Amino acid sequence: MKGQHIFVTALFYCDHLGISGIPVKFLVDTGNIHTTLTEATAKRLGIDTAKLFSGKPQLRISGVGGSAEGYTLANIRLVFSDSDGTPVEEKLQVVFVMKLPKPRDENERKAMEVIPDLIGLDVIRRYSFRFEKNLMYLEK
Amino acid sequence: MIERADLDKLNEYTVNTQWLLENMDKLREKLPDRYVAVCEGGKRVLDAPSMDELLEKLTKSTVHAESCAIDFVSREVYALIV
Repeated sequence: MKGQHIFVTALFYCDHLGISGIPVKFLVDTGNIHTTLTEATAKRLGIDTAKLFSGKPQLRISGVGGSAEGYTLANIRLVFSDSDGTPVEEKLQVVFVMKLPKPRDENERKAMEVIPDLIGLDVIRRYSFRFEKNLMYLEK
Repeated sequence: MIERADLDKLNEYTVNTQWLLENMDKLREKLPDRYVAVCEGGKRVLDAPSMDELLEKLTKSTVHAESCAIDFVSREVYALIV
């Protein structure tokens, strides 16, 4: 997908939570090990984030802007559409949902809102890259 | 097995996402610091001050909510370093 950053769209499936093919836009992030959802996207998928975040975090996430907690969703399937429209399915044992720290002020809250969902190396390393005129192609 | 309808939904969502990314600067002027849903290839744009309110608005509207691309449109331009 063309733009400033490299984004990819995929259908998100989590059978045991009843999530059946909801599209999500991910930023392709080679600096991130795990595929990660924001709280906003988790809500859009119908996940009860209050319940999810009531448990113990399974991951500490660190980035340029600070740190966050990661909570797992298990047995996820992502379905991409390749260049000729054929579905390509990737299974993941876990995907993390980020719980960001409470913002210190309104400006920080707004900055946090633009943090995207991330496709991590858990998916990316299954492909090889090709860049061509501002577009990135993932190839098996 | 992936249903044809799901792939159509993904294609529609991808078109809406592309429209949103390409029109982010215009949206920034018109709808700063709002959550925005782009639907039907940019023909319908819904907005709200929070994600919860936008999702509620989408539920009540006639658009196919799952295919709409949703983003927070910040007034400021942030460079993402990930």
